[in-house]
Amino acid sequence: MATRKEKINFTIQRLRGFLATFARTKRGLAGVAILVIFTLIALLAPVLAPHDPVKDRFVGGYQAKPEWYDKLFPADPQSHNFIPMTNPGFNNPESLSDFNITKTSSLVSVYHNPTLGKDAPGSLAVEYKNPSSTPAGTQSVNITKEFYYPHQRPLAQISFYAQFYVEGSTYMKENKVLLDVPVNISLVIYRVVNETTKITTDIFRYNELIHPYELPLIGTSLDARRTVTEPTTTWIPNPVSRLDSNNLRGPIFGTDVTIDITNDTLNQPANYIYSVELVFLDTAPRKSNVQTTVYVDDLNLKGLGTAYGLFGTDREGRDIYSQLIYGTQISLLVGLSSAGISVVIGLIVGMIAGYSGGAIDELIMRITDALLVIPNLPLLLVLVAVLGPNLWNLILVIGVLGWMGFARVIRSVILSLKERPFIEAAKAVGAGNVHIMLIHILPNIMALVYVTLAMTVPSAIVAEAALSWLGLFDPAVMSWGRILYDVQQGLNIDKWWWVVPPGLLISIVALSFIFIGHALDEILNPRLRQRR
Amino acid sequence: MGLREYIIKRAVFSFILILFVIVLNFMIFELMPGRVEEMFIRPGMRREQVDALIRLWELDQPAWTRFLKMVYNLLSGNFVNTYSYRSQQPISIEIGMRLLNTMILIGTSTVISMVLGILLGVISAHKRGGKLDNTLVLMSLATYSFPTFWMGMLFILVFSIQLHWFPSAHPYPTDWQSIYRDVGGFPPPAATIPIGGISIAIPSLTEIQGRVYHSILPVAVLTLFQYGGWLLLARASVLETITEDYVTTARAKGLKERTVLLKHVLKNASLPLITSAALSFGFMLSGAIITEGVFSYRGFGSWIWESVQYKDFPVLSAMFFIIALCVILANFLADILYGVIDPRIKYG
Repeated sequence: MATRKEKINFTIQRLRGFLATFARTKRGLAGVAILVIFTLIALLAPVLAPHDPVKDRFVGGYQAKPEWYDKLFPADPQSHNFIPMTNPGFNNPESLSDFNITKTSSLVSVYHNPTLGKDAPGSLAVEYKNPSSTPAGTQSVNITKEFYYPHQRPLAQISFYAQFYVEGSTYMKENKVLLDVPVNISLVIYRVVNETTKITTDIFRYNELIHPYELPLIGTSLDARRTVTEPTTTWIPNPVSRLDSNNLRGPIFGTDVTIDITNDTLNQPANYIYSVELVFLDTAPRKSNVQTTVYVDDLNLKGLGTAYGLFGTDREGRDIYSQLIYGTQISLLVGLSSAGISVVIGLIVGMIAGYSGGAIDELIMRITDALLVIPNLPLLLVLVAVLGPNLWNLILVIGVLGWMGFARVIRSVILSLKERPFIEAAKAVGAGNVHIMLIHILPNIMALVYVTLAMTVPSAIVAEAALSWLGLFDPAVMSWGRILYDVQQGLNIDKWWWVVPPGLLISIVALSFIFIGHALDEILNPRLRQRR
Repeated sequence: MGLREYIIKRAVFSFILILFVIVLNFMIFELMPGRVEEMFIRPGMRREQVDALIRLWELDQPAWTRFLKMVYNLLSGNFVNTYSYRSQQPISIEIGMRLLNTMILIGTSTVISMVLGILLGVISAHKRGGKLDNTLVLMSLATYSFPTFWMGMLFILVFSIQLHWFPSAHPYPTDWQSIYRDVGGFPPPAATIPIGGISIAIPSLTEIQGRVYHSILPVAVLTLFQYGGWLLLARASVLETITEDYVTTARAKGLKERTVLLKHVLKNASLPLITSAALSFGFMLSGAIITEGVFSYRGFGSWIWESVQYKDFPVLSAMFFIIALCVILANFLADILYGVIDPRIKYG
């Protein structure tokens, strides 16, 4: 009897021999190398991919081209994501220096408020304070930021952000709380026409008068339909506007306003000025010692370019590079799990049929034949369409429909194996059926199992891709097939940077498994070597 | 067991299989989670409309009545009473036209890919172990791993969008619908030859040209999808025969290598090829479903594709049955053929 140590040594030796043979097959090695790379990509996806493949919408413009596109085709210039503001959140007092602030009166003071803020503490406070009882007329404050827009082409989409929070002394009228000094807020973008004399044209203007306003005594947001009764330090989200190429209609400053502005607001390389203009209207007779403070936060301008990322973006502005990276996970997961399911079922069915023989064998094999005859893809389609497309259903259905061929092979191998003398010997010693199958037969067919596993993965990967491409994908995950579905649905086949990569990745991964399978086949079935 | 019993046995098995497919077909859609009505009831429908639709699809009847009706309808090939959820029209209206389109696509590409694959397979086997052999085998393995739909998209990208050589969609020019509106939407046939009771129409040159022009890309894709399998199969079966003694004898007689390969080797190696032509029918259909989807080619495959998008289950069910039926019949024929051609086969 061999000792345990000898056994282990024997196993190690065999493994070494196997690896040495494997290292000699070029294709096998290439397959393993590719597989290792893709496994690493799949595992490191959260690190490698900057965005979530499904949820992160509009990280770039709609159907943006890749970042490198205009370097390849300089005749077709692109715009890139553009965010001129460096510290829009006013998180520290220095951030005020980013802006140029002009005011008309000493009644107005502009300072940094370190506590109040939208998401993070800190905001820009503009305070109008008049202790006297005579109105001081209109007083204005301009907060401007000059920036340079470098691109030849307009952006795909521009969003303006500004958060306002108004508090101040008030009076009651007809059950409404009104500001003593109403304030008019304008957002303006100017283009500097002449650099030296600073002549500007007003290319975008948005105005809103904050006067008839339901203002609780301590604090409020500017959303008129929401009355804040508690003293609050949290800001209620109040995006000023989100501007696309389409006109957007949305609640802005509490009222529905349609703004006609197109994405070519910034349409040529030039200096532009983004300006917030506050006009305090201290004109009506009122009590003495009045005050209105406007807190400004998240003063931002975000432009989405017509080019973004390594592979551009899809119809919802999602990063295709991230989708490709995350798609690796799905392909490998579906491929391996489905192939695993297929092989296990095929192994069990084939072993039972081959070992038991007789009527059971006949019955099992007829069912196998029947399933083998039914066309695979239509059945897959129908089943997934009926069960509902989620990832586990896909894996299960692909796996459950892929075992038949393997079961037949296993059966025929076992038919010959079970007549061998060593099985007879085991039977003579009194070994049970299960024992014989697991201890004596299984190790003899493991080589076949490995080969089949490697050869089944590609078809599972391609099947998943096909189903996803047909629209039967799990909405929560992004697979390579689904990327191509998006291409097809949006009639975007002309966008080669979007069409080529997913299919290429599917083919490479599938091919790597085929290579490994063939290499294993050659090593584990030495009979084949002369034929090839 | 004689040939006759063998055929009877295969026929019985095929018939059982057809019944099995029908049962499976019924079960899948019956056990579907959720109410069937949700699939076709649109918001804003009145109660009477919904009731009429429920009667149309006989959802008010008990399951076994519907099952028997379905068995009858499917076995008799009667799709007049099968209504699509999407168009609410009987399926039989579209079936003929789509069947013709699919047959053109599958037939052409199968012939081309068989010829191409078998020729390359013989060459590959002849030069076994060489560089050419390696390349050919590698390329056919690659076709297994290339997703067909992606290949189709690449073809459209290159030949249709970039080079403007071929149209990217439809089995025939779309303007036929308006040009030949009075004669059924197709160019009138060049001639009709009456044979017995039926008359066979010979399509006009315009129709042939239009169809060929539109079919080149999908046929090319489907050919690429299939040829790899043929190549590997032909190579394997030629390798089985090439070492036989009679081949050596033929060579010793001084016959040309080409004659030896094509007459002596391929002839004897062709048996598995003939049967697998029938057996690969299901595989071909899978390719056709996808290719038709890519090229919006109005055939069976694109019908399945559309039905999946619209959850049009009656159509899916009918398509599934027809395809399964075709495959079962093809398999039956293959079995018979096998038995007739090769007398050495033990009928068992």
